[in-house]
Amino acid sequence: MTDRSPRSAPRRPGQAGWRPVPAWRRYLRAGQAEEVLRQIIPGDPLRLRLLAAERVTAAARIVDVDRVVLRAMARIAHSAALHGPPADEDWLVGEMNRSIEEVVGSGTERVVGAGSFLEALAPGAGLEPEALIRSCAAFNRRSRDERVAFWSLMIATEPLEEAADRHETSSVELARRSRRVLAAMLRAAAGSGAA
Amino acid sequence: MSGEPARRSLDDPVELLMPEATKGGQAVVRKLATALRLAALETADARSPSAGVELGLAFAALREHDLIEALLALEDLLIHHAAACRRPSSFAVLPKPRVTYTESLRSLLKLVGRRAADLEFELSPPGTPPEVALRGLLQVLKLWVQRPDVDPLLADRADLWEARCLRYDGAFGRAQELLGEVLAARAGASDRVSRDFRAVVLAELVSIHLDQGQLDEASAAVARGGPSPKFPADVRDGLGALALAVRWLQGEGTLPSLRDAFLRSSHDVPHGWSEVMSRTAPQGGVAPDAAVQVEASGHAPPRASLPTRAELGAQALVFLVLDDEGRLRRGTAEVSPALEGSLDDWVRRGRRGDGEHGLLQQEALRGACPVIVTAGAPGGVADGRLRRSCLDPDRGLPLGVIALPIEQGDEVVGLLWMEFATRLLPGAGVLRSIAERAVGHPLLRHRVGASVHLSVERSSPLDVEERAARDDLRRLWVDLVEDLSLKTAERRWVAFQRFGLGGDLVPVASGGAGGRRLKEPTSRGVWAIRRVLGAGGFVRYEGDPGQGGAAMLHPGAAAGVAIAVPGLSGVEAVLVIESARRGDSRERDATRWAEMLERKAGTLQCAALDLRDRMSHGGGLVLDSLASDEQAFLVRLQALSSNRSDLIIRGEAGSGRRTLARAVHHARRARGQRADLVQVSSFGLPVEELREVFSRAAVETVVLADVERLDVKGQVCLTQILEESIHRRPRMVATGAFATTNPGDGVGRGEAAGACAKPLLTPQRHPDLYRNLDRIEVATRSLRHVRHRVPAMARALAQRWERSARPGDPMLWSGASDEVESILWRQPWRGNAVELEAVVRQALLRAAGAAVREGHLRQAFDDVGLDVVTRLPSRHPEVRDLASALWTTRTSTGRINKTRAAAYCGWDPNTLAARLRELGITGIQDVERLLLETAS
Repeated sequence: MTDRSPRSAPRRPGQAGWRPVPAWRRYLRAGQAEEVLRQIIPGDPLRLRLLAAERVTAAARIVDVDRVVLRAMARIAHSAALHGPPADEDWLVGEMNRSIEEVVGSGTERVVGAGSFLEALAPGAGLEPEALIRSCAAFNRRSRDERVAFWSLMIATEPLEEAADRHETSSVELARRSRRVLAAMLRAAAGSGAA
Repeated sequence: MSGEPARRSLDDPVELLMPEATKGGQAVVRKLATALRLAALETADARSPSAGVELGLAFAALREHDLIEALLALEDLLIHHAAACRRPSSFAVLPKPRVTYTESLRSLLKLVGRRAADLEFELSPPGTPPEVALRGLLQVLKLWVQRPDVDPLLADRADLWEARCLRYDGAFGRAQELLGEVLAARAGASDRVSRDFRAVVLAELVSIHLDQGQLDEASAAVARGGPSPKFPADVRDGLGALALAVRWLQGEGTLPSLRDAFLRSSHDVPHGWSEVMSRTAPQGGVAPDAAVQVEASGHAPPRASLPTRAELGAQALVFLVLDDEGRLRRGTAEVSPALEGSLDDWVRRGRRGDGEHGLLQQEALRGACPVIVTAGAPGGVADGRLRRSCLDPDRGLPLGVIALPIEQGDEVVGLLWMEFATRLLPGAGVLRSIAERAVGHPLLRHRVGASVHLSVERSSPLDVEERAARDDLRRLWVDLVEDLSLKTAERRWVAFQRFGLGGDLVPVASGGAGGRRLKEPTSRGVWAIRRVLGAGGFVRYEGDPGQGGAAMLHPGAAAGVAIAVPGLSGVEAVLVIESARRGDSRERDATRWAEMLERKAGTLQCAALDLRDRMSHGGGLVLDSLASDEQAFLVRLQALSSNRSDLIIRGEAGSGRRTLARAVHHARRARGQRADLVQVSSFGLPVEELREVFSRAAVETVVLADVERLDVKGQVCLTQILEESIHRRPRMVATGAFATTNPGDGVGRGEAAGACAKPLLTPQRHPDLYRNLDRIEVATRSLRHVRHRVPAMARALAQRWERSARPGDPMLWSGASDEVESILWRQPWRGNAVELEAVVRQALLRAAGAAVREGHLRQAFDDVGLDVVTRLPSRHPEVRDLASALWTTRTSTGRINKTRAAAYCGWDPNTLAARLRELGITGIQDVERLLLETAS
């Protein structure tokens, strides 16, 4: 029987619980970007690690979240130095989303912003690291709807009908989307195309 | 149980998604799923806040991000500058910049300020041309992408930008080569980023081909990008949108709605495509004026000839010239061999330039605006218009047609007809360039100087004489229009009159309220002027914009009449009357106006001759144009001017011999290159100068004053000159103070009656020369023989002196009384106009700024040494003097005024009445008859 407890099941896309510390904007008033970085790294007052986890999950991306956090910190420090502190928390969310996409899109075919991270995971799952990296790259290239469908069924192991209801689509369509992703990943794992 | 396996497969996602997979295959999938779950768990594990992020790594990430941001900001600036460099009709596709120019620049300056050690950047000073600024930014980009930490793809992007710069500089070939090298360098890469970049490069290549009119090459470049989208909704990038555009331009499919496709793919809509869209709009193919005026001649060097068919990518290029009668005549034509046989028929079909057969060429001429029609445009009307208008519809419709009117000044003088086998038509800038080049075409030269202008160049404030001449003409027209009893609340009128030696029609007066709805005149209504110029009479027209109605001179007008006013050499003037009300150009009104204007034609002609002489030679021709004898003079003047032959004018000094010589010249509109008039005195004239004057190519008339004073060598030289055909040399008008047997003879006596007086022979006269000179001889009338000309001439002379007066030294004639004018009228004026001018000038000086009165006049006579004649002989008066007195003093309603006439003659009224009875003069018609009889 599949274990669906929060500890064993990855977070489903769209679940949110992130909040930065109160008065978080003062950390972004340091002036120079380097100074801002010195303010927001110790203790992570902006809770960027948690935000990255949430947004990566929500976007259904397989990506090295540490690289995402690093990129987000650079972006936030840069923008805060250039334009001053943002008006609200949504700006941080937006910067995080852009950081995720940058990390995903910054690499080449082989490295999709998760290379070393996946290389570490592959032996535990009994897969060749290269095959896993290619599969994840193929996964990240699929559309968001397809990724979310696959994530719900294969990663979050949600029941088909429940997942279909949550995504407001039919079970058949959800299964089709997931199947397309899976087929692309298998082709990539076998090294037969970029899908 | 049958349901158990099914439910189990629904619970197991692997079996659910891959029911047909082998156990081995499913095992791989399960391993993959496990790895992904681990990755997801790793992602979701929000560990200790500070874990995994070292400050050094963060700084490195910041530097990397700074460089990315700097490059993005730089590329934004490049895009902004490139957008300014793109030509108006270019298909160049540019990505949309992320932010405004100011924001990009501010971000970049902050970044390079922080990273001054790493990133060199120098901003072009304000006012730098966009092409130069773009080059400067490109150099910065090329410098930055050489950094080792920069993605190699960015080096290729720098090459792409270099290619764009080359293209904006017009170096299409080098741009294509560079793009080819970029594509070759990435030929093996199949990742998404490389594929996207390749599409961008190919889009640039396609657009370069389109800008050069290379549709087949553009299509080949599209094919290099792989499968193209079939519909706009499938478009993912600029290349896909251009692929659909190319298909349409080649004649395939229906017009794709690509605007959203370009925007969706984060590009702006290329100007070239916007132009295609505006030209294929369902409401018609008339290109907006603005679109034709947006671009200068681009980078093409100015040329005086027409473009070639190959240059434009056209299958037919026909140059048509509009003649003076409004007909289109074939000029040069370059058509594909298959269409050559149809050309003459086609020209015949659309001969009437202002016809109303719905032909595109006529539409272009009427509207004075390019008409551009593309086959297959939405609405389906374009194909019908093309079929009616194209050279040979039986051989298949062209995919595009342009009817480009050629304008000189404000008038359409020709048309360039272009047919295309594709929908890729020349842009607005190219059309403008073609039109500018065509104006200098030799076939249009005969129109130069005879065009219709809608405005007049303002004369210099210092040119008092010209301004006065224009004012006089304007006042004359205002009086004429007032005589037409024209209701002007809903109407506006503009009077166009020939101006200058070339006979250009310029607006000389205007008026009317036009119901406050009529706008300023535009060239769209010039067709009506052109039509009556050619045919005379009048033309009535109704306007109905959008419904194929006639184009109006005043935008907003609903009805109009153009009336030709005849002159000495064809139509002298055109009066256009337009109304804001429909149906306000009734036949009977137009007929009445035309008849009235024809009656006043002499007045207008005199005013025109006077104006031309005042403007060109500071003289002036004063006639009493309503008098019958003066009207006969005008008719003879017309005969003399239209008959291009040498002429000799005799008469007393000051009787206007040179003025008449100039009038003969001014009355003949310039034809060909000869237009100038030169006046030389024969006294002491060197032979070389005489020969040189007659050898000038631009001279139409040589006025040789005092020809009897020419020495023997000069006579020999002149004889030789006159032996040459008059068609190859200037016309000679010689003047001289010859003795005459009948000093009262009028103009044209020599040609009319054959009773020419013999010239005063010099002791050494050249017989051949004088035989030649005797052929056509004209005598000017002494001022005492046309006394009714005296008051007007005195006023004109006085006004000339008034205008020449310095500030603080005023002169005023306007208050001249009947008494003053009667004294002037009565004098014998043996010195003619010279004597009159001297008296008038002295009188003005004597009046010292006050109105001239009888006392001033008498003092003036004393000053110049003349006795004042107080009365004419009453026992045996000259009949012409009596007729002149009655004519000069007639009432405003055209009746004779015996009391005033008697005062002019210095008689008592009874004496005058007795003389009238003797001569049988009872009314003004007798006076007119006598004036005419005594003149010849």
